[in-house]
Amino acid sequence: MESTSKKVTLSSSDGRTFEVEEAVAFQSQTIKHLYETGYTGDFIPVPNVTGDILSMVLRYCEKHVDSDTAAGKESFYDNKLKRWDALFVKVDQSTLFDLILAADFMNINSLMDLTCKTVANMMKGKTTEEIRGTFNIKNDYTPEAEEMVRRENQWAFE
Amino acid sequence: MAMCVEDRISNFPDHIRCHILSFLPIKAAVRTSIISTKWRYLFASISTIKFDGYLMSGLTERNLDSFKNFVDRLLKFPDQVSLDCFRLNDIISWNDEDHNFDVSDWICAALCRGVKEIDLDLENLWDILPALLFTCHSLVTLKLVAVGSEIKVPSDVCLGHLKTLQLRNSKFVGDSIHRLISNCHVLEDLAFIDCDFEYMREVNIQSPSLKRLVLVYDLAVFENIDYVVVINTPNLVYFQYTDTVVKGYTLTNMKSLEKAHINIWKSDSIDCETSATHLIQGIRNVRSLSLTTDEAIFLTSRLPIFHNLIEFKYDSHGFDGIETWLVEFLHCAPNLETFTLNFP
Repeated sequence: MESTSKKVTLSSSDGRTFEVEEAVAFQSQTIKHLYETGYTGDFIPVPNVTGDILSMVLRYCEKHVDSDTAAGKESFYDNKLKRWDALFVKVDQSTLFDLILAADFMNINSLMDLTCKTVANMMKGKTTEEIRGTFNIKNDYTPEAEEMVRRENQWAFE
Repeated sequence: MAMCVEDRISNFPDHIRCHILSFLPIKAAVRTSIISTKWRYLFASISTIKFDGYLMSGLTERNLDSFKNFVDRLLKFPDQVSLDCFRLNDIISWNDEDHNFDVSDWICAALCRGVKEIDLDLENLWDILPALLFTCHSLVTLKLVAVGSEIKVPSDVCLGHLKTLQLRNSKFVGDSIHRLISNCHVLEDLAFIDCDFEYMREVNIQSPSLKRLVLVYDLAVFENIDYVVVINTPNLVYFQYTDTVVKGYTLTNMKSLEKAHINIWKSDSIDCETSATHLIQGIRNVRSLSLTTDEAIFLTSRLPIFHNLIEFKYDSHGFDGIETWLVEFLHCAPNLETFTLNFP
């Protein structure tokens, strides 16, 4: 990154502001699109995302800002980044869900993949009952209805 | 990890939950249908569909129809969602006497749903690849492993949005490589891994858009090296080459090259040194070079000046005391900042 690059200021739902380089903020397709369509405001409001979560998201974007360049994809760098990513998502479930919603709202593909994959890993190898337990999901099927759904795709339940 | 007291995940929008399911094996994704009524139909809208040999071989006879039915519903009666990825891996038994899956039909269905990535690893792949695959405008990524197949590229090939092409264990004939690549106008990533060029006179790669090129052949079997590698890629940034030195190299226009990994073995041909020297001359603009050779392989009197080279790493397959050529090489790198020498 050249040091003279432009800065932008983001403001979270609880009114905290964050100044970052344009390239960092533009990892968010939502923000990039906003500027490309002529936005000229002093700061960019990011409603629905709290300051705590936004600061995490921006930390992620800063780390990933160079990784999209062709040379950045080289394997050594890639592995280091993967380890960083793995540590980044070692958070409690509630924070993880907040990150997913922020990644979805700000449209940051790689963060969306990372966080959703983490949730999928929490489901892998678990029985249905264990998945319900992990995420506090209440089973609202009657036993008959549940059996019917099983039969619709019998192959997956054996 | 702290537990949530409320059920937040079930109230996430469908597209987020579908995205989560796309990272699960397909069987596990289907099984989420019985978590609760909010999960019942979610799996039917997943945009990533992956089948592997483990799944297929686990199907019992009485479940085959249930599975085929499921795939038909999943692929052919879609809602508005276009497919991100369709992958078939290690399916060794897709058409033996116990299983008779119409894989070709599945691929067509995925193409019709505007799939962005196709990833196939099947025996006798080329017999079942639909012609439609080579004129598909939605494809961005194509990965094929075609063990035992000869790749025949149709004359009307046109993959207008393809950015990544990876071919593994495939055999090429005639000018199919040139035809394929010159009709992928936005191609950025290209890899041939353990591909067989034995029956070709020339491996011809011409692409103004290409940024990364990987040519790796490290199977320890006899191969015919009586062909020429021709590369013309003005925007190439990364080049990886692993092979026995072949008959000839014509590398032009590698002006943007930042990084190269070259790993070459000597061949028995008389002109091996000349040929290897042509290869190294072609990458003289590189900034960072990692080189692995088995012995003095270049004609030191004809080494180019590497004006841009700032980082150089050398590995030998086995030091035999004739690495004095390295001194000559270092003389040709006036701006070198880092030199790493690895002993085996």
